Amino acid sequence: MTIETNKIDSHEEFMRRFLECQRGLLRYVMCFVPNAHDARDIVQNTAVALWKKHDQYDAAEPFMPWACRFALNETRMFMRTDQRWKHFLDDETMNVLASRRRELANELDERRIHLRECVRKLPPHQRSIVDNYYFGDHSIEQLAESTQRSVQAIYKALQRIRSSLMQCVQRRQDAALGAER
Amino acid sequence: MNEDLQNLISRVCDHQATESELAQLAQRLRSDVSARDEYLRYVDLHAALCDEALPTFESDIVDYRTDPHRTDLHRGVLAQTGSHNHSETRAALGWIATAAAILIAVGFGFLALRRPAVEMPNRNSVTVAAVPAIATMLLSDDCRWQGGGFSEGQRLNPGRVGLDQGTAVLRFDGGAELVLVGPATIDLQTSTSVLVHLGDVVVRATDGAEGFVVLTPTSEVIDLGTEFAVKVRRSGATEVHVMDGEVSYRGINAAQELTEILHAGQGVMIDPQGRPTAVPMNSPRFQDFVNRVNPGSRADLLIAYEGFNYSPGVLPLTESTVGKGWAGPWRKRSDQERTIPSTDDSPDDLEIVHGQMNVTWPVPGGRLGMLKLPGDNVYYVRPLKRTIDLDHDGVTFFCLMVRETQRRMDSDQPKERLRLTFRSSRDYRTQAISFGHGPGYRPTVQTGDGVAHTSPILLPAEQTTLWIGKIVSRKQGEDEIYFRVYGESDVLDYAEPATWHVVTRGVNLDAHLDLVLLSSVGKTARLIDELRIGPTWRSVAPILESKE
Repeated sequence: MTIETNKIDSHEEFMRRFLECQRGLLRYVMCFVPNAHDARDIVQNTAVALWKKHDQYDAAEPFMPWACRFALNETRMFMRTDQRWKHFLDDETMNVLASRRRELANELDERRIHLRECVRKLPPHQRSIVDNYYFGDHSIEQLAESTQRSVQAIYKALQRIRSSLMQCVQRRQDAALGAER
Repeated sequence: MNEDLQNLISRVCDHQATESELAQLAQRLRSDVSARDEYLRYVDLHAALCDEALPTFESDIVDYRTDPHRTDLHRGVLAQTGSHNHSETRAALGWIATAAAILIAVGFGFLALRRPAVEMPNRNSVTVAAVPAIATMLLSDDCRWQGGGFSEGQRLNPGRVGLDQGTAVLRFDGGAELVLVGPATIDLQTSTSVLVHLGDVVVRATDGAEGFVVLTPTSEVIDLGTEFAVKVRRSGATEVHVMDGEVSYRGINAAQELTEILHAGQGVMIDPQGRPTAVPMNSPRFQDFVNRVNPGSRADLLIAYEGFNYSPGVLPLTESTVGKGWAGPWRKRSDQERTIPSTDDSPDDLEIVHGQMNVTWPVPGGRLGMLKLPGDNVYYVRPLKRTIDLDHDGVTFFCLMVRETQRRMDSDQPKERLRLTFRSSRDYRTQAISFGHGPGYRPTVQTGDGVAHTSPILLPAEQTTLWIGKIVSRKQGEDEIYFRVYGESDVLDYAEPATWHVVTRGVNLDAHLDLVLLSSVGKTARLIDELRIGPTWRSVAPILESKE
């Protein structure tokens, strides 16, 4: 009996591998299409594409890089057909970004850990916006209505919050590096 | 940090950038190395925040049959026999979508095992139960349990289950289903294995549940895609009978290479010394046991019921007093209860109509009174007599019949939303569990202060759907919430399904939910009926009454 040891022996095994990396895939896609809604669509398309080709996957290889190749391809296809994104990044820039992102992978992992603490330290009014916008299902318009502010004011507030989080993450990362030294 | 660049990236992230701004950013990313780094850091931060909101939970059909704990031994057996576990019942036309859906859904179990990239603090605190549940009690008939009892729908942790009399059906999270006939004593070991000390069990382990292991004092029996019975006597002697498919078995102390295969129609008795002897196959099938129990509706257990059983016409809210288990009539939200939107223009009357739903399930009077919600933003609250206590171990099911009158296609994300939310009058805003759909017409469970768990599958359009939800509350450890939407052609079984459209992870609530909120947002009218809340699947699911 021949046992193909380098093939995934069941769709469930394949699913498990995909699901282990799906959040990473979303973040990967968002570095080319930084809008969550569009990126989720691309990840969905990637899931289907991966499933169609799962018999070509060599189980001896890491799954994430293989999946990222599909995700990049799906992102390109999406960007070619989407009116908004089609003029954003050319192939060369996407390749450069993908390559640089691989180099920054460890740093980005650390930054996400710092981000947890930084979100916790946000002032209540900023925290409320983050909760509702990112973790809730609320649109900018709903946030504007509920807080009696203009839509533009909410956009500005989000911008300030992310800027503040970037600074906080950077400070913590610098401090951590300093501590290591 | 470059403030202008960050502002530009921020506008792109929020879908606010103009074409010219997109081009400007693209140009900088092409030519400026430091801009690329800053862009990647900024976008990764934004993505990590988004990532927390949905993708982990962007599940759909969670298939219990996938088991992260399956051992290499079992995999090895499957590989050697060439067994594969693709579901043969999957509709061919929908296979890609289903597979993708399952792909994304099944991840819960696995994602829960790994450290999240960012553990967001303000969500319901994530508590991983020290001992995770591995099985569900599906059916309990005339059971007298040793020690504490088990109720239908209850999640079961690893450990001893003793049954003095009666018949019970369990489903392991690995997919295998087991009939237990008292008197019997078993140890639930993992989601794919059980140790039978005494008594009769019948195992049905197919369609992905292959590899289920039954250990006895004298033997190890491994399912290879089949249905089989194991009978263990007080002496430890074990009989194995295969009704369908095949199993492998060996003496508990025998070497691996002494494993034997038993085929359908065969039986074997393994004595206390581990010596096998062929015996005639002699066991009822799994379904025979279920048929003997004859499980029917248990509507008598309902905690609350609203069938809108009124004459057609306009019904003032104050007169909406019919039903069971309610502490008052329907009402509009109070000032303190209004969140988004802060105003409430819900009508002061309910519109009751008859015969406007196609009811394909056995619902007594299902085509009679029903609530028609207008195409507008409508919010109605009704208080429950008995609270759903999330700080206690318990199980609560609900069902709701919904008719969507029109599926809007004028936008990718039309602002159409329908939710049934359980809230707490003490902590109205943050302690809640909401079932429904949002703008994408996808089943969603929302918990606490707005964490969404959304399925990527689309709800059936413009037909009557049956929503069924299950809340497993725990005094200690994670609560589990399940949600599934049935279309008109879907048939309900005697017990809860093995697959749900949404299964939550990381939820830990402790509220006493005593309010039901119906919220309908958008431009299309909806019909609502048969809101049932009860402790078991059979108490709320519209299945036939017992045949006897």
